[in-house]
Amino acid sequence: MELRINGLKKYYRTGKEKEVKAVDGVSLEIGKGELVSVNGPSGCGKTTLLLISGGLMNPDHGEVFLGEKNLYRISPDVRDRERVTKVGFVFQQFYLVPYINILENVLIPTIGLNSYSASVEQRARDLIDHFNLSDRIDHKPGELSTGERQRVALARALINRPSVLFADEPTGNLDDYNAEVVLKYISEFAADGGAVLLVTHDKRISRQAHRSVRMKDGRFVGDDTNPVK
Amino acid sequence: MSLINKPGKRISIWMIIKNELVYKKFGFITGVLSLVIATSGFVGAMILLRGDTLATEQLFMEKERELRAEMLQLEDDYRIIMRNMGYNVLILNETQSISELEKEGYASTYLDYEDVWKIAESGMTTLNHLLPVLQEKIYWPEKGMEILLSGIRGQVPVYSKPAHLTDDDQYRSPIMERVPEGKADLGSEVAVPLNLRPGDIFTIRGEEFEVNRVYSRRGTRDDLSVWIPLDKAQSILNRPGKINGILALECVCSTEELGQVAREVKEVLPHAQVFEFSSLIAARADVRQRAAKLHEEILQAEMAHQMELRREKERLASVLIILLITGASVWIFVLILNNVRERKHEIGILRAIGFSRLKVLQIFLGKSALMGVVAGIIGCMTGALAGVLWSGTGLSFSGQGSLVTPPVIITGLILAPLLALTAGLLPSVLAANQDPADIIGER
Repeated sequence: MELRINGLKKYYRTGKEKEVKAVDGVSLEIGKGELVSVNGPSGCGKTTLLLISGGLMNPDHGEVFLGEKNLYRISPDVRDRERVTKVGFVFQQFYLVPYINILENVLIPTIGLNSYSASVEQRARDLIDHFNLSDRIDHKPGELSTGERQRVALARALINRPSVLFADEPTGNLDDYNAEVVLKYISEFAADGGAVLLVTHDKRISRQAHRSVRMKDGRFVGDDTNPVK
Repeated sequence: MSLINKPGKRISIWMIIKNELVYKKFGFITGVLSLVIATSGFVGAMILLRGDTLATEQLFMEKERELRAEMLQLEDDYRIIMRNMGYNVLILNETQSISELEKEGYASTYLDYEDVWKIAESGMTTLNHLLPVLQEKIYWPEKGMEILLSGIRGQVPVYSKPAHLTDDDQYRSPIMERVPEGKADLGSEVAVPLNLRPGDIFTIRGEEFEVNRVYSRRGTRDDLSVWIPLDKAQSILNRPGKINGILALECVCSTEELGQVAREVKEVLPHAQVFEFSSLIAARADVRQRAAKLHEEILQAEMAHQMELRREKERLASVLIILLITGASVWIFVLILNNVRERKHEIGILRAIGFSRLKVLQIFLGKSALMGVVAGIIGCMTGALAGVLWSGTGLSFSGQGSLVTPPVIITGLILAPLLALTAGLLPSVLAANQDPADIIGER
């Protein structure tokens, strides 16, 4: 399994004695080549689940295994390194760095890993080319359309050859065409052996997933396996 | 063409810092400007203070030079005045009774004529204008009157005082002129009653003399004196090779040195005693000392005034520098803090994709340090230029050159980055410690 989640719990205390159960005893496994979507209404705990699974937020209870490593049993520095080598993130807001160009944005994770090389740069160029952004390589994010920005974010997520891709509402800001394109690339990643955890409230996306989990009030309330996939 | 597409260039923390600075020019420029003001204020103030010190030193050197010149002039004036006032030292045989000297007006004991040469050649510097004399009150049988017969020769050259001598060892300005051979100088009480004038011939105990000059009335025993060459006087008085006194001018200028002449003469002539007209010497020395003291007091007062002014300027400079540094620090703090807030999502995603806290810290501290380095260089140049232009006008060229010292420039170059790093540290730490989950999850 590329990602294994056991009994995750995350509760927020928002006021006196008021507790919000963002994630409440969730377990999940995602293997190589598997695309799993978690859908549900806003505020059901999807993003919290994704942040915990991606090693960005400590759970109150439960375990997250990335490959063989239990993410919350290792030091934050090691966890940072595990994250940058094995995980890619795509967010609804893209979060591109506005003052550097597309190629530099795609390459920016290599700073965290100190892994820049000519071959890595070539891979960045290949990804940019693959995502039909070659003519935009010197452009700044502000000069791109939203669909192009999300493709740049996807290329950035894939530059370090992660084994798991976490996508948080990746099509939330996109029109249908661009949403299809982005989903196509995410599916390609899974088809190439990557594991994908995709959270969304868009039921259409679920149809692209091998497995679709419904979430409500921090719990999984339904689990559909797509036989087509 | 971006840097990344050029061969050998790679993406780095430095590239992120540089691109962000270009992207957010206003923040960078105002940050640098505030540090430039602080740094140039510091460097300028240091140079102004140094310029002030150099100007004060220059002023004092000029004043000291003036004082020294005035004192030399004063000393020369006193030398001339003292010479004009006549001899103030009389060297006698040690057995001579002073009361008898006062009573008779001349000494009754004798020294050898050679004694005066012993003093002249001894190297003493406290005596000058040595005049050997043989004086005795005698009855002048040819004229039927008592006179004070004074045998003198020219002043004996004191070789330690070559400035007063001509090439042939004669005094340029002797206190008493020598009496030419075969001639005599007469006091008024001798010449007038006898109706003797220059050129007249007369005899004393059979020795013939021609009147050389007649002195006007002085109101002293000199009016009863007849000055003739020393060898003639020794012959008339039957004192061959003898003198009964050596007149001299003591040129010491301090009352503390009174008595020193006596000691020095005693070392050369153990059988002699020295009679000093001390009150006269003391009065002269006292006047001179008062003048010197007055000059010294004026100089000290000026120095104290200058020091007080300098302290005042130092206080003002300290306040100014503290204000500038505080202002710049607050501004840098606000700038970096604002920058951290503006770049919250960027920090969040950088942390999410693997940037460690240290790398985020490097981005913000690197930016602060870069502002500091740029501001340090510009601030040192502008501060030095302003300081030199402002304070260098009253200084000599070499003085202007020494206004800008390496320690001030080095301190200025260190101050700006240090200030920027210190002020930027807390916001940078806040940035590094931001939880990426909080930022990404806040949507």
